[in-house]
Amino acid sequence: MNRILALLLTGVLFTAFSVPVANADNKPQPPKTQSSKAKEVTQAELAQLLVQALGLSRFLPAHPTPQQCFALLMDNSISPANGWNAEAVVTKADLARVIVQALKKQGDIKNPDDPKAWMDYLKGLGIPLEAVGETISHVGPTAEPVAPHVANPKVDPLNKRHVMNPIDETQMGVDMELLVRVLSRSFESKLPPLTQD
Amino acid sequence: MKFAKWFCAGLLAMVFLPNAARAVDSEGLKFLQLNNRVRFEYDDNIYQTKNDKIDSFKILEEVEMLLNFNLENTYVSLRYRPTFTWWQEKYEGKNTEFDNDFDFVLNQTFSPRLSLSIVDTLRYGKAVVASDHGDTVISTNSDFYYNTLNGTVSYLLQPDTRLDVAGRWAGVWYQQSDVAETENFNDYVGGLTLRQQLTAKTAVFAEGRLETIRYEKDVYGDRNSKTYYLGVGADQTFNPKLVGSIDGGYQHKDFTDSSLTSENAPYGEASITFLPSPATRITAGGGYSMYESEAFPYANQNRAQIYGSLAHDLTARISLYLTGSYIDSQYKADQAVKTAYGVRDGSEDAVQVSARATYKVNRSNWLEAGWEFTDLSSGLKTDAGASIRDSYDENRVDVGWKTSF
Repeated sequence: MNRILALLLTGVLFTAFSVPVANADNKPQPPKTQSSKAKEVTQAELAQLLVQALGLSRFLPAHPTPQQCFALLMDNSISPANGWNAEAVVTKADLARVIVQALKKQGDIKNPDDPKAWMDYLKGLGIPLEAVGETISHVGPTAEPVAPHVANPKVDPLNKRHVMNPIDETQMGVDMELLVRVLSRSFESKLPPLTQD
Repeated sequence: MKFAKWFCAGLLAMVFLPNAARAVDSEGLKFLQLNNRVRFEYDDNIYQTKNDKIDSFKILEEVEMLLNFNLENTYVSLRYRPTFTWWQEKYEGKNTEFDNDFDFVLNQTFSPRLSLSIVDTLRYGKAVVASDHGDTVISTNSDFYYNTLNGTVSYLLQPDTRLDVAGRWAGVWYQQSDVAETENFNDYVGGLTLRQQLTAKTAVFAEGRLETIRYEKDVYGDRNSKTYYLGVGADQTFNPKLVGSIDGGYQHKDFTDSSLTSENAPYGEASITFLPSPATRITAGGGYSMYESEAFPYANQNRAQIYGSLAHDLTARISLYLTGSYIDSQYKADQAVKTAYGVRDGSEDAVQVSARATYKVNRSNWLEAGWEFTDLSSGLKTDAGASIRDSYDENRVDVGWKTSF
C-alpha cells in the first residue's frame, strides 16, 4: 500500500510538472480561453472558471454541475447582482462584481447598487474587464474557503464521505473534524466486553 | 520509518511544485499559495471515552501548499497539507503526530462535447480506535490511510443534455492489525447520470449507481455487499438569493453472506443555500440512505442526517461561523455477521455543534478562535446486554493564527 501511494504521489507530481510544459510546447501561442475569442461566456462557464481559480475544485465532485458551482460560490459570498443564471451571458457588470467578491474586497465598494462602482474599482486595481479569462487570471486561491455542502449527507455513493475523510475548518468555516465517528471495535469472543450495563 | 517516508514525500512536493511553477511562464497558468496555521487547543476527552476521560492541551502546526495550473483545455490543482501536532498528554509516551492531506484535481476538455475530470484525495493520519491490549480493550490511536479516486467522463448529447459516466474507488486502511481485521475496506462505485437543463434556472437528472464494498479480511465474518441505486433529482434557482437541490430514489442491497438479510429502502437528500444579505450565508440540508456500517459486527446501517450552517461577516474584518449536525443510525441484528456474543437491533445518534470566529488583521494574517462539541449516544448492545461502543461527549476549544504568503 505504501508503494502504491508513493507511486501515485510521484505520478501525480510528474503529471503536474509535465502537463503544463507539454502544453507549452504544443501551443506556442499564449493561451486563450474561449472567452477571449468571439464566443460569449455564460455564467455557468464563469462559475466553473472561478471555482478553479479560487482553488475550490477539491470541494466538489468530479466534473461538477453548474448548480454545484453556484452553491459553492454563494457559500463564499460570490454572486452576481441578480443571482446566478446558468444560461445568462456574462456582462462586464457581472464579471466585475464577482471578481471583487472573489478578491474579498466587496467592503471597499461605496455604492454597491451601482454596477459602475464595481467596474471602476477593478479599473483602479489595474484589472481589465475585456476578456473573462484574462480577468480571472488576476484571482488566486482563496485563503479562507468555505464549503458547508461537504457536510451534506451525500447519499450518492460517487460523492459520499467516508469516516476517514474528516471535514476541516476550511470547508465549513468551523472545525467539524469529529463529525465523522471513527471509534471501532475488534471484538473477540474470549474477551470481556468493555462496558457492562 | 513511515514518518521519514512521508516527510520525504512532503519535501518532494515542496521541491517539485515551485519548480513546476517556474517552468511555465504564461498568463493565468499558475498560482502557488502557501498558508501557515498554528493553533493552541484544549480537548477534554482525547480518547472519546464515557468514563475516565483524559484531557490534553495540544499545539498544531500546519502548512498548506496549493498550486493551480489553468491552461486553455487543462486545469490541474495540487494541494498538500502536512500537520504536526504536539500533545501534552499522550498514551504510551508518544506525544507527537504527523498527518498528511493531499488533494489532486484534473479537468481536461477534449472537445466542446467531451471532457474528463479526475479528483483524488489522500489522507494519512491517526484515529482513535479500540484495540486489544492483553486482557483488556483500550482506546488508543491507530495510523490509517484513506484514499478516494473519482473519475468522470462527460459528453454533451445536446447543448442542454449531458451524460456522465463516472467511477470511484475509495479505501480505508488501518495500520493496527486488530483494527485492520474488521475495518479495512475498499468501496467501488460505477454510475451513469443523464442531466437535462430544462430552463435557465431548472435542471433535472436521472441516475443509476452500482456500489460494491469489500472488506479486506473476513476473519470475523463476511460483511461484503453490493448495492444498486436508481433515482431522479432536480436543481432549482428560486431567486437570486436562494438555490436548492433535491434527489431521491430506491436502493437494493445484497450481502455476500447469504445469512444476512437483503434490504430495499428509499434514499433521498436535499439542500438549500440562502443569502439573506450580502454578509450572511445560510446552508441547510438533510438526507437518508443505507450506508456501510461503522460498528462491527453490523454490515449495514440506515442513516438519517440533518445539518445547518450559518456564516456572517460581522464587519469587514470579523467573520462568524456556526454549524450544527444531527445523525441518527439504525442497525439490525439480522444484518450483523455471526459472532459468539450475538447482537441486538439498536441505534446511535450523534450531535455536533461548532462555532468559529476569525479576525482579519491585514491582507495576509488572521486570528481565530473556535469551539466544538460532540455528543455520541450509542444504544448498540450484545445479546447479553453489554454495550458495543462507548457513548461519549467531547469539547474542544482552540485559538490560532493563520498566515497566507
